[in-house]
Amino acid sequence: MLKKKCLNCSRNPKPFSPLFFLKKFISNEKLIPKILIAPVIIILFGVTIFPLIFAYYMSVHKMTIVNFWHPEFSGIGNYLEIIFGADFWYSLRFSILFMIIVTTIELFLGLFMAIYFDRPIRGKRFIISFILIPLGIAPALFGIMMKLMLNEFVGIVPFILRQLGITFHFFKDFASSLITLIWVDVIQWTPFVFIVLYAAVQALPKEPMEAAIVDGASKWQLFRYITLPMLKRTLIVILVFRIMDALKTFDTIYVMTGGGPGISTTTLSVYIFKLALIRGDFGLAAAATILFLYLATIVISFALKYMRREKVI
Amino acid sequence: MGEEKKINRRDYLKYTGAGIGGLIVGGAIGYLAKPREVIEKTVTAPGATATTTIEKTIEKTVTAAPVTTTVTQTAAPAITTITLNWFPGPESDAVVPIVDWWNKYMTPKTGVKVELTLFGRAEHFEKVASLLLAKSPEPDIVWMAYTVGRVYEHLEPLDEWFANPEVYPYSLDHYVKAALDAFRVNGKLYGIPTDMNTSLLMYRKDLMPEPPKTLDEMVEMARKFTKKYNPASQTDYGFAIQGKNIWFNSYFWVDLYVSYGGVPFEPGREVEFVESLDSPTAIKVLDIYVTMYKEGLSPPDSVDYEYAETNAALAAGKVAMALQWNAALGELRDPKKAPLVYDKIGAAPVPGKDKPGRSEIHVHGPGLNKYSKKKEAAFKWLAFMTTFKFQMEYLKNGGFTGSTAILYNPIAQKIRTEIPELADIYRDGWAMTTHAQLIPLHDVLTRNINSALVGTKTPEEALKDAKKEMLELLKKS
Repeated sequence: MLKKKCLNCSRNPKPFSPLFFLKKFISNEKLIPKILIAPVIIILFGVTIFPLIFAYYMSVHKMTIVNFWHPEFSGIGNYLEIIFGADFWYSLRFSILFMIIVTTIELFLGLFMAIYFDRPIRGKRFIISFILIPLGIAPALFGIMMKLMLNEFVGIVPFILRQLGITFHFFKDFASSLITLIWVDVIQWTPFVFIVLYAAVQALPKEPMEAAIVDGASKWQLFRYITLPMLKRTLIVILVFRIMDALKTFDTIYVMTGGGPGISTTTLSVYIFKLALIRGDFGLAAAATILFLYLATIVISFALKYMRREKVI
Repeated sequence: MGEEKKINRRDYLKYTGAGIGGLIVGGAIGYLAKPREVIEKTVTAPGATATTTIEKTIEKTVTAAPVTTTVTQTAAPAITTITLNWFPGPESDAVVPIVDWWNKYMTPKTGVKVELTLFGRAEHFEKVASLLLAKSPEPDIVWMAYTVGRVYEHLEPLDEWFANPEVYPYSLDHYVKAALDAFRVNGKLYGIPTDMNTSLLMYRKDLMPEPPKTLDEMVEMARKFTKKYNPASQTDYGFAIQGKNIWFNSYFWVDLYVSYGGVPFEPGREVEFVESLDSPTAIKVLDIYVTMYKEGLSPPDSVDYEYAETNAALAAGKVAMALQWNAALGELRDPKKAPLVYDKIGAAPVPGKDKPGRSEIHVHGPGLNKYSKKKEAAFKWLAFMTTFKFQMEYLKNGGFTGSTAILYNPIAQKIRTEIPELADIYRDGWAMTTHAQLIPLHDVLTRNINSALVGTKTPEEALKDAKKEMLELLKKS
């Protein structure tokens, strides 16, 4: 009797040989996804989870650059010092104030520009490219550039203002510094709001507009009852992004005012940076960071809840 | 419609392969055929025309270095490569030719090859601190600064090395005392003051033939050169205060305060200095500073000024005087960088109470990594750095020095024309503290001075708050 020849038998590796295990491993459908995702998990652990755990560790220790290797356990001491210190709350208040002002201006300005550019304009591509330039510049570098441009003696802006008979000192006190910082942020980030909204406006269906025009809707009514509701989801996404970004503003403010005059323009990020790298107190800085993280999480969770309700995500 | 020209896959691969192969072969031939670079370097005999005794002493020790004599008696030693970390910028530009010279002429004799390693200038000290905290054995030599008090536990104390005539036959006596003190922590030396910094009164010598010597004279002059009070003034403002809330800006006020009779913020006198902050002298000096700002003798934006803005104000010819770091002098006297004032800027000591005052000295320079595995080799280079040859070459290449042998050397004074003006200021300077909390202490002081300038606190309140916070910081450390 002829033995039935197994077609695959010749390809089967010897039991317990390396090839045998490799084949078994490759054929394990449950294991493969885990192995493939492992590098990402390891990287994520290295750049996110480990720093977070280490930040918790630092926040309960009196840790400075001098005693880095033998820090003293302090329990919630650092948290209490931050909570009962006036500077943390001042920085938080300023961060929120700054965030509200810049986000509002950028959103309105970006929306206005997006609507304005949604029509045939000569040289539109060039103008849009020009508007987007600040977006491509690193915030710290942008801060340095603006500081030079606003310099009383060598800056172009004061020069132009002087020609127009206007004298304005950009960093004289809290009010002028705040105005300057707001405008710098607006110049840098409005292009982001604009370009996203512009893309959204371009993608809007034309039929509802045409129907409303036929029904005799005014331009304001078109905007208020058709364009704006249709842009709502995009606006929410932009709002969340800008709130998160503006809340942690650091580069431009540190470069331009260093958080001054006094501590008047100190955001939470600047405050934490100074605690860690100027004061050299990693424990306090970690405690402030974790408190900031919780506060930001509250804001973000509300935003996410709202986004879910509006079916944005 | 024209027919598309097609190429089959076999031909495509053949031609592409031939192209890549050709490039590889051509590149290899080109690399092998490239002529070797010949580095020609003229080595001058530094100090050959030195005239003072101290120079001769140093020159003698350089040539009598045991590393040289030992090497002549034995066969070529095994080469040990050490990593030398330097401050990127003018400082590293100045040391590169010396490293090249060392590697060409001294490596065969000493057995030590030097490899330069640079970090970014902006975060240099943070990177050095991170490496030291991580107990990294490299770089063997790290570029340190006034922040030495924070990381001294990770640096090798150098006193015993310098006291051992077998490894160090030279002398440190030629260094400015304050410069060496500015690298001491708890009495021990942790670095060599290669670059020395201080603040100076920079003034327009075309407008005032003599710089103000006292604080009162300075205020009077500032008023005279402010358009608001003297419409005929050639400058808009008489003075530029560096008032930005950035930690090192308090150095200028401290210099004025010490020159007015206040307690120097020296190593070991930190508590005494802080305790004196609410003294009538301190309050008066801050009050003068604040009054100058409020009366418009300084530009309104000067509460946000630091080095660059102050230089811009002086270079634009809009300001008659300013307290500024010595490093600015080169820029302000450069016809390309300051075409309006390059020949009009004078440098003088900080004004005092009834005579010119004294400025603090802070230093930059190399220290020996405690975790280095090549300390002996690294120290040979450190020892060389204290010699007249190194100091002179470094100066010629654009660096600066903490050695009086150089400051009072006629050749050096010809090479760097600002030295005659500065030598006495450096010699008479006092060392800024190297306390571990140096930066936080200055940060607190700067913030409060800044608050007083913008009027959110009175000078008295600002100094009282600064004292309280600074004492807390000192108590904690």
